[in-house]
Amino acid sequence: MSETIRLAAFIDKGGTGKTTATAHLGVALAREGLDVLLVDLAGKQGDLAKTFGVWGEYRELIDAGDAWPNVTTVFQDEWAAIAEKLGEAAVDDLVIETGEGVDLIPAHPGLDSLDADLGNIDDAAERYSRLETFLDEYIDPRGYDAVLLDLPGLTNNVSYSGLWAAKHVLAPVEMGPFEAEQADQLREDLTQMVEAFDVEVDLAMVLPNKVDTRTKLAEEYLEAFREEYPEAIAPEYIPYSQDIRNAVDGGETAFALEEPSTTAEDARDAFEADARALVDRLGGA
Amino acid sequence: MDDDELEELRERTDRGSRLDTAAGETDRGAFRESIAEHLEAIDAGERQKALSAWDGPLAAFVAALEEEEHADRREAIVDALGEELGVDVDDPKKSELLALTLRVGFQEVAGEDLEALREALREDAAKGL
Repeated sequence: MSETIRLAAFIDKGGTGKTTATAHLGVALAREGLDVLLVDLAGKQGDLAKTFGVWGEYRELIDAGDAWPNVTTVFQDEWAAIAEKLGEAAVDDLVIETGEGVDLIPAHPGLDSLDADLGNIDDAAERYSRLETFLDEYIDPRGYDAVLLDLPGLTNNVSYSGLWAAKHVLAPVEMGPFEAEQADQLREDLTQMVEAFDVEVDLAMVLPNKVDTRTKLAEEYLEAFREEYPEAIAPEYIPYSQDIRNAVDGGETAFALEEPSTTAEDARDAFEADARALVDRLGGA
Repeated sequence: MDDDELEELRERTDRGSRLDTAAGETDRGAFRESIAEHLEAIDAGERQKALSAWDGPLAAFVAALEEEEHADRREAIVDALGEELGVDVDDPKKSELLALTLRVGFQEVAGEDLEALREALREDAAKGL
């Protein structure tokens, strides 16, 4: 594959399963043979690392003051100097391996103040392009086929940085009226970004998530999303599965389950089909 | 990590959570208020300005520095202290020499805390405006 696919999971709303979707799509891409890196910018709780059962170990590093450099360091003025001093180790220290075939740059408590730090940079292009520069110069040369960013569930300087860097957005949505509004809002935001900064950011995939097809209303919303986003809608919706919740709570994705339930298997199949669609849409592989 | 420059980069870029930062600021605020109270007491003549330390060997060291035949040595130390603090000091008296030395020491190990003193002094100065 020639170029690294970048995708940012974002919607200005919490609880839509953004992190779970990022983790599962990442593993699905890895199962397709892609070399995948996930980056957790979603918040200091480290939910993406928890999904892979590696947060506890990283949390110990944080508590011991040894988690430096970390994901927030790459946004700082001094990053280039740090990377030069540390050499390869600078990026090596950021990335941890999960047991499911994907690499991960975990979250850090410093994400909390990063938004305000970025707010102090007057020039918008300078403020939002730091992550992109980091990915261009330090991650792409590592030969990853896909980099997935999990962004905060709200619009702030960190999420804008992620959109700017990825240029392609995955919007996981639940089947409800508020999600429809938020998806519309996202489309407007992306249009504004194009107009204000001349940066092309496209809605690569609207992913109906946690869909409970036993309810008629969910079916109706699903149909409405399909009509509203004919290009961006994912080929397969992700069915609601208690097994996925249980797996994630236990520190693994549904792909790691040895005896998945029918719904978990359906969800895995859907994630794999959607991962393949993403590769097609973003021109990878 | 044994590289001073890298350690400095780390100090400049290592971020805690917003709560950590806010807690640090609150702590410094309380310290600054205590300093301000003592400054007021000193202004009102309720607290003396003198500092004293009981340390025989150091007293001997300073006494030797005060002797005229060691003026060059004294001046070299005073210049170094002034440079460290970014101030010009010309032929200081014993009291100033000791105060400068203390400041450099506090600056070295507790620069943030000394910043609280600067803030308290700024606020104190602004009161008269």
